[in-house]
Amino acid sequence: MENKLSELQLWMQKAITQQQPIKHQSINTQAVVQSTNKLSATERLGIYQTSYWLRLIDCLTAIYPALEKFTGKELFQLFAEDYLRTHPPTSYTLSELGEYFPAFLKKTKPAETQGVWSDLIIELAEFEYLFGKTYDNEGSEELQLLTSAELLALTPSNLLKHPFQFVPNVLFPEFNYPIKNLFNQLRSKEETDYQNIKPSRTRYCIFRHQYKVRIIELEEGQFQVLQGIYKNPRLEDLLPISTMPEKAQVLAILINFTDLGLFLV
Amino acid sequence: MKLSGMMNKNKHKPSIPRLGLPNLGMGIGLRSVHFEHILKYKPKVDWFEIISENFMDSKGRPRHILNQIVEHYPVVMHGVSMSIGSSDPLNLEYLQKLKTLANEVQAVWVSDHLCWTGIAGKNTHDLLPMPLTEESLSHVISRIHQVQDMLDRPLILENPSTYLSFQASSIPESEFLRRMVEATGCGLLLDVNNVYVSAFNNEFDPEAYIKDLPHHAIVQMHLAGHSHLGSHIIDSHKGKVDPAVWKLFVLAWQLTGGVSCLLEWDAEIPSFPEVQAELAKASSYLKKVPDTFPEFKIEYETNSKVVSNPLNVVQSGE
Repeated sequence: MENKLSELQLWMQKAITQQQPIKHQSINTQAVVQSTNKLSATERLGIYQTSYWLRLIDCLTAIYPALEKFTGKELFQLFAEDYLRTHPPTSYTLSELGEYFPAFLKKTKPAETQGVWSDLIIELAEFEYLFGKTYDNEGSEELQLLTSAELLALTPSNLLKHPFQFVPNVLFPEFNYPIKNLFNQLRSKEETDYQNIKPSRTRYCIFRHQYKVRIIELEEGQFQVLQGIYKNPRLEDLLPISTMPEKAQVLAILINFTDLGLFLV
Repeated sequence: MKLSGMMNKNKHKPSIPRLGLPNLGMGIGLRSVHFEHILKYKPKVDWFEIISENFMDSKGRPRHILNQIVEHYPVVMHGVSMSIGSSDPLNLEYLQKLKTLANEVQAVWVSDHLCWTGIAGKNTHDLLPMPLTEESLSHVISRIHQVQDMLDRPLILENPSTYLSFQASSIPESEFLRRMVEATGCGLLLDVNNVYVSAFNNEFDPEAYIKDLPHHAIVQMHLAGHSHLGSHIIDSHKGKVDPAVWKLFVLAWQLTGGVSCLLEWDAEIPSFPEVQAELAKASSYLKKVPDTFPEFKIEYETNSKVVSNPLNVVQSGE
């Protein structure tokens, strides 16, 4: 093997990122790596290989602590290894390491698997990813929030024309299970009994307020109004939509969420 | 905080300005588990070092806390992903973000490691060793020039801890660093624990290594604990500093005339006062160098899951 820098780096990266043990007494390794009195060339290269997998699995665990608690250490490690083999890290930042983990779990869910448990794993991963993303994304802390007093001070015609502007990076995800409760239990290290979790369509509004992630479970009417105003920021455009609740109910919802810090001036 | 303020506050004397950079005194690596303590008690620490990548893209609480810390302490940026030795092209987006953060937090300097972290678009998130060859040296020199031009400041590079050496290597690491400094004007971050770890793992004399370095270019020193596995040592940044490392530290201090020093602690991180107490040993050893350093019974780790620790992931919700 020629020891040109790029060739050597490609060789070493391939060796330490593979999962099967580096072949003992590999002639190739001995030709590239020096042995010492205490360790052979393959053992020394193996230190980097072991570290690669342990470090990245540790990092993925730090990104998905609730999921790791739910699946248990061993299963999480198997998922993580499969995922890292399919999606080796390419970014300079570890915050992107787990970006495709939920989609990977969804894609690799065995077809014959039925039941709550595997669905919960996928939804929990999706939820935990959104939580982490919101935690580190831009929030409203440096921006001026709208108050309900300001909203109520508008004349009726100005209220209809007022453009509702959401705080940055607000999300409205939907799930098939009450995933927020499970997530909170796992993160607060409470015991969970997933077998008693029943499917139930849940909708959330997730955004950041004062550097904390705010997760609000939405009733169907609230979900419709907030999604509606996201697409049609003015009440004069929103209210005529046939699926909207009554005007008074729409206003009540908007005032409530204004008080929760969801809109900007 | 302004540089003039730092110089006045510094009790460990500015000594010779290195590349125009001050001696900041004794600092601690900023870790998220200590955020609350630092904000609440404003502990007596001369300066903090941050892991650049933990804050470059953060628009949340970690960055908010950093902004508050910058109001009270000088901050230095220490990166783990520049990959100065990789054969891949330099990541210009990364460098631009690094520069932006450095300007925003008024970083006193920006450092990284003599290593590569990945190739062919991948990032192993490890500080991988360079073959110490003429080809590597000229490659690294050319890239340091590019980085310094882009950052508009000298780059400070740390000697890595290594677990293997290459058959192809033909230049001792200390000479590699010296020639790199001569050709680029970059600075050095001398991690004395890394010297000890690499010397054990690669069977060289750590004192001769330190004596051979260009001392005028050493801007900063790192101290840390490590994990001894009998056949090799892992740079785990865990536990107290080994007396053998303290001994090397005193030697390096004498040879440099005194530079900024920083304690890193990344595994099983104790309370902030405990980290401070370990750092305080540095000042006490410098006031009066002990004839012999306290006996330190090496506790061999049997855990095969010890990992070298250049990283600190900030967990969401912390």
